[in-house]
Amino acid sequence: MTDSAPLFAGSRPGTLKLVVLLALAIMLMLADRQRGFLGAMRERALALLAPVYELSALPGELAADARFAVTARQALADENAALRAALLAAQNELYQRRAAVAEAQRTLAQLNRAQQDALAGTLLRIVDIDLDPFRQRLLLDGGSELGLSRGDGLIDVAGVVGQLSEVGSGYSFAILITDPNHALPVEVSRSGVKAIAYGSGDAQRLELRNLPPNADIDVGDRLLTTAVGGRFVAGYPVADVIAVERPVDAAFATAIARPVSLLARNRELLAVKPRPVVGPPSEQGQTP
Amino acid sequence: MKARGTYSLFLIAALAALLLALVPVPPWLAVVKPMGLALVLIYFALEAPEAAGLGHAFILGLCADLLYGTLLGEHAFRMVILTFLTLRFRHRLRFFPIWQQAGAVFALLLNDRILDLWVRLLSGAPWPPLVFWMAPIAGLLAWPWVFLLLDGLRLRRRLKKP
Repeated sequence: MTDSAPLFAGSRPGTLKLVVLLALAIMLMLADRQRGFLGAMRERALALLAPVYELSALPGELAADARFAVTARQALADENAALRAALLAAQNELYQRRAAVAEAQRTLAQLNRAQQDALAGTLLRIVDIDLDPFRQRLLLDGGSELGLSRGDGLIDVAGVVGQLSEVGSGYSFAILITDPNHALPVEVSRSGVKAIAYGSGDAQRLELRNLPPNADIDVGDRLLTTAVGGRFVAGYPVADVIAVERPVDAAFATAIARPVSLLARNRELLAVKPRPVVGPPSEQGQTP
Repeated sequence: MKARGTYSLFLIAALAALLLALVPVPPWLAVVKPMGLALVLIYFALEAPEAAGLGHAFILGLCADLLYGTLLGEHAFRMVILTFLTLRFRHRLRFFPIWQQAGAVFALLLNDRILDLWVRLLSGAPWPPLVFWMAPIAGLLAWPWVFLLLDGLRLRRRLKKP
């Protein structure tokens, strides 16, 4: 306080400037939380950042290439043989499936056509860069040019992974189901009980809060997506219940579930479009 | 007197720090990765305050927010406070021996972590795990090397430019 006379002019920080900049930063944070016009700006900025991401993913890719180059011949030969066997089995299955699909398509053609393209998806690669290790976000190499949009669901082989939260051209950010800002409507596959699975920030844990105390949910139950919310086609596996707490003195029960998908440990994810919302029949009437 | 060499070195170092933070490393290393941009800002606020002002800290923080997908303004907020504190105590910090300076850097980074935690908790994130607090320690250990590296680069640039 006492050394108010600066030793070197111009080197003293301006308190006014500090206050203005901090206020600006706080206003930006508040505006960004509301996901308004700033969201659109961020999505545009993603396109500008594309080369930066490419550059910082380079060391990881080079390391992967190097690892591949020094893989032993024997290991490759073994892998080749195993793949060959797997291909044969898959081919066999494919032929059977083709016949089944042809038959199903004939049936489907007679049904409502709207549901047919609900299963189309886009394969996206996870860009190998480190975002904040304490947050459940991913960067994917695909954006609006592939017809993606905000809110598209992401799945892997085992189940639901997350959603697209920002879609730019070329790149998009995804939010995982375990992010504390994420909530997903789910259904217990055994009993049909509906609930909402909240992320906890822990990659091994989803929380189902505010369940009725007598809800029919037990350890080992599989949770599936529901059509509620319109983000996912109903029936994708989400998580397995690992604990149910029913405190005597509380009005609600809580269940803890572990996600079945590999989440961020995948290399590729499938983006699926939300199903077109099924509303009441339109005025023209629905064809049966 | 405008040291253009120093200014361009500042920009290059800041951009390099932004990029390095994105380079993938094993998970155990990711949590101790020191906050490179913060170290660069502290160095230039100490040694070349005419190059690294609050405005620069703000802009670079915004770049970090866009790049890492965090809440827009979060890094800007933290970097502005960090730079302000460094500029405020610069006359004392500059004459510290390097190990004592590293201690001060640790305190600055710890304060930065606390601000970070505050923003996170306000935006609804849960209490982070204990390793969250490792980053200031990593910064403490990294500071002497960052200091020597940037000092060497800066002085060489100054000598080259008569």
